[in-house]
Amino acid sequence: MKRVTTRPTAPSPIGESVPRRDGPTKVTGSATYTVDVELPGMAHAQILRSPYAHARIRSIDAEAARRHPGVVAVVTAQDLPDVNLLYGHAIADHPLIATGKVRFAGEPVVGVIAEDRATAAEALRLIAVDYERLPFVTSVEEALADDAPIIHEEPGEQRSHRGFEEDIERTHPNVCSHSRQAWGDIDAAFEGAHLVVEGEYRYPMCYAYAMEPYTSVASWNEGALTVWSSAQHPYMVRDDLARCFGLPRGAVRVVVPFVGGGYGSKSYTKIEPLTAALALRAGRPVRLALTVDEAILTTRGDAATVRVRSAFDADGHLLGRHGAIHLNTGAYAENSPLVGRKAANRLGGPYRIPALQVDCSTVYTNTGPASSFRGFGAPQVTLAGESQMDEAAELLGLDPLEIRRRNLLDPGERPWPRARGIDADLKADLELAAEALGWDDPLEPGHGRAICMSASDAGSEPITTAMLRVHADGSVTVMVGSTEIGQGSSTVLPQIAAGEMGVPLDSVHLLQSDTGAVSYDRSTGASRTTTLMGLGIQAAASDAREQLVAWARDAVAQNGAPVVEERGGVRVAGTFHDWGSIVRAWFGADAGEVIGRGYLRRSGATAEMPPFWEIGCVGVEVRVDETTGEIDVLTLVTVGDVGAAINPQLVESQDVGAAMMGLGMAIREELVYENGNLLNGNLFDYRVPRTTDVPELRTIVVERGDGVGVYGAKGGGEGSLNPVAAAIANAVYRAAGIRLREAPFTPERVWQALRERDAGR
Amino acid sequence: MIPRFSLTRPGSIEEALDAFDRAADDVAYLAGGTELLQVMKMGLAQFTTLIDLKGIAELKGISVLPVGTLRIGATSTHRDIERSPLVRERAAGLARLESRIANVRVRNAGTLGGNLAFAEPHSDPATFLLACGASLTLAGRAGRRELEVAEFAVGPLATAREQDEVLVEILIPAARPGEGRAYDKIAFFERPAASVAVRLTVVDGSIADATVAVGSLTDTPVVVTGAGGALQGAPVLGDGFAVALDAAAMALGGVEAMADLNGSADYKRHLAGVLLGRAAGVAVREATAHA
Repeated sequence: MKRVTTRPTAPSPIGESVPRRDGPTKVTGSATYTVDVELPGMAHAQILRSPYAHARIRSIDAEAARRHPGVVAVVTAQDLPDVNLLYGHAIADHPLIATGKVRFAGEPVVGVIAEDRATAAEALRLIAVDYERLPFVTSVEEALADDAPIIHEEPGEQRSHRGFEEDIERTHPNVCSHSRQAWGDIDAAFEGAHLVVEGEYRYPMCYAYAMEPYTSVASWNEGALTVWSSAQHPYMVRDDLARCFGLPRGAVRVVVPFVGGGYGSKSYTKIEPLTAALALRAGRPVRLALTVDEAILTTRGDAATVRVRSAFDADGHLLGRHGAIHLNTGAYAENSPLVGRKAANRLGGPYRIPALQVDCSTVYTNTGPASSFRGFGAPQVTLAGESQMDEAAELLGLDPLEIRRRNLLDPGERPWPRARGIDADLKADLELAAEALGWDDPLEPGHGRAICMSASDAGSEPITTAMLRVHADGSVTVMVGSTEIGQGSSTVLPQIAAGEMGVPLDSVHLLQSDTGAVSYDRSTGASRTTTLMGLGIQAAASDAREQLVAWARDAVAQNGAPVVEERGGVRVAGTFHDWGSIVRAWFGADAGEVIGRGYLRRSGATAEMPPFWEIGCVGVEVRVDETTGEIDVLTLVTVGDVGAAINPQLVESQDVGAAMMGLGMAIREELVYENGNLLNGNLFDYRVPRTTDVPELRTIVVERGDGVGVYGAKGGGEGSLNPVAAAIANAVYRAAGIRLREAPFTPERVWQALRERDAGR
Repeated sequence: MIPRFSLTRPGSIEEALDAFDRAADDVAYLAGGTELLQVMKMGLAQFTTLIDLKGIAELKGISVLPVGTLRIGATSTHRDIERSPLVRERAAGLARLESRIANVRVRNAGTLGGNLAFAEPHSDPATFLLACGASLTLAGRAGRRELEVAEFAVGPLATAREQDEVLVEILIPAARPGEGRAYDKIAFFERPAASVAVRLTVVDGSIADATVAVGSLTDTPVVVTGAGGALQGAPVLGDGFAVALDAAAMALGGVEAMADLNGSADYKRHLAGVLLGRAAGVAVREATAHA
């Protein structure tokens, strides 16, 4: 890892690569995941899923299953008249269990609760469902045909209170949502163009494989509901549960134990309402633990078809960009309306574009529902946008780096009117990547290099609270609603607290993601935790210190002696008093504590949206095997432009992990539907990258202190995914002279393109 | 999740056959379980009784018979075979092949006998053994019989084994003087996209005879006679070898390949042609070293 640091210094241990706190617990197997939660009297659920992509449910005969020894309860939608079955924070269109019809193969139809999982699984085989099969669609093209079957006869309730303000243009009943991003005079831009590049690019339907599949445990107690779940956003799950079961939010407690990976796939509500409904009917606590195969059917990423035209002047300056994006969002909206809006925002990329118009429709199909997935619309559109930069460079006779230099936004420049100015030095990042990749070094035959970039409006909403308690012995408890999903928040947040309080790192303890114990955070996503919760903790620490200084004046200083704040305490009349001694003095006992509070909203430094820009800057060198069509990615350069790296090693591992995830989708991963069924919904046939697939790494962490967060921090962990597919496509073009526009770039697709190239010679 | 089943662990082939007779209808022999337990988990097969063959001494071990035939007990794991000095010495191509099967966890559990009996069309060893003219022994109530590997697999996931028969051993003939045997595959997922095995004999710098077997393209691995024929008589050095390889690859055009997640029939035939060239080169080197 190379570090480029120009940010102001920060108090230790901020900026230090301390070992991750959850490491030993996880690698020794002692970490408690949701599946390890055991409650007295707990029963186990299994789900009967639809074998058909689209069908009306005529009847369900579950009598034999109900009578099966060991079965506690069998639950269908008809057994839940007292539950609001529809959830969905964007559009409430998703029944927690099929009501009347199924919209994808794999949709939950019946839940069986039994004394153990094997008994529940046996009982599933005793259930007979009479289906009336309906015509189905699995692609956007099929779904938007005039005579396409309608997937949702009644549009779901719009739940705009969470920021989905735009009107849904229902041009076709299968359109789920529509977003437009536009500025400038688009017609004039294209009329005056010297060069227009036009193309259609496709990004695959992918699964955000996490080692832990979705798991929930639900328990009802005197009308209150407690759910343990593998959820990224416990507070949003709480709110959905409250709505489904007609409970006040305070009566719902969502606890998130260790999570085995999220990548966006565990954001928002998944199986929690179903588990709670099953526990309600069982009259006992219930655990629902999905398999990986079931998890693949539960959420995936949005596949995209992106049609783009870019207009350039003779010098390679972008004049305008016009885009039409269609996302295959599957059977239910989930978070795809927001993914669509972000895709529209992100097609412009990190460039100065005088006029832009992008329309994005999310489209219902009879496939597993799509939702958040690391990168969130950016990988889909960056393939298109960055491919066009290289296509234009070639037609204009420019070096691919030079065309980028001419168009990249300057620090502080607004990508679109009213957006926050870019909080990064993009041109400097580009030069760092070029140097690391050896851009000007001679290339071996069959090799190619490329560097691609992205800028994402990230951070979601700045709605965050934090609590920081200083105990009588001076140790600190930090309480946050942000989740450790493997990204390292359980290490980084204590580092910030220790630095801000001036206390040793090992005296700071963190409590996370329990809505009954910690205070509100909107979400753990959009790369926001270090930046926004970091600010929350900084504010809470400041609040705690202010109170402690006041307490020192009150209880430590004699006769109005001046109290001077120092690192980790105060000095009074030449004597240093640490925070613990102030607590003890104020309470007059070895007891008590001070509670610091941090609140963040759209105000002050976080008034402008987005809270920060997440930068992607990736370089690759590839070799193309012309005999088999295989792409070998030899070198991978990542530039993690994170403003301030609270823990540089964790930044590096996030960047490499993100880029490898992007590499998997660029060359290999794709969920394939045939006859309405998922062909490769298992880890035999759906292959994610492995350590043996990791190329030679050249990682750079850049800290210029230009983010809104503590010491200039801003988010990372997704940016390095976004440009990977485009970088590989552009590098393959330089290596072999073939332009790949449909990811994944499988060996056969490459081989076909090589054959077409040779046929054209 | 895997349904409930009962497990018996016989100590001899006789006990295994008894257990089979006693069991109800849904019974299967279990070896490494890397395939069988997966299909049970996926709900594609339901067995209420599994008879575990791993405790039977006669099904274990790797040895050389007096005639030079390599004998591999059916429950030898891929890892056993990969690491066996006997296999490395007498069938180096098989040792290399075994070392590249799936991943080390699968190789530590999965057995050669189980692999052949499951008859997955993408099986690595079946293709190699087919080219080598290997045979195997089955033991049933009616006694023992020996079958050529070519006769054993009759379709995808289907073999000539009677339900009660136990696969005892795999017999690989000794390499003749001047013989080379090699295998190569290309895999994008767990199983190969295409695989080719070549057995050839080099006499006086020319290929005297050759057998080419192709796996993963068809329902079972197949010998492509035209491809072997195209190599016959070719010099092993110079342009003549390249010309013969092109002709052999052309002969693969007639293979009725199935499209799958790895690619179209055309592409898979093309891959087999690429692999044929690679495997033939290795086989020639081995043959020349043995001459």
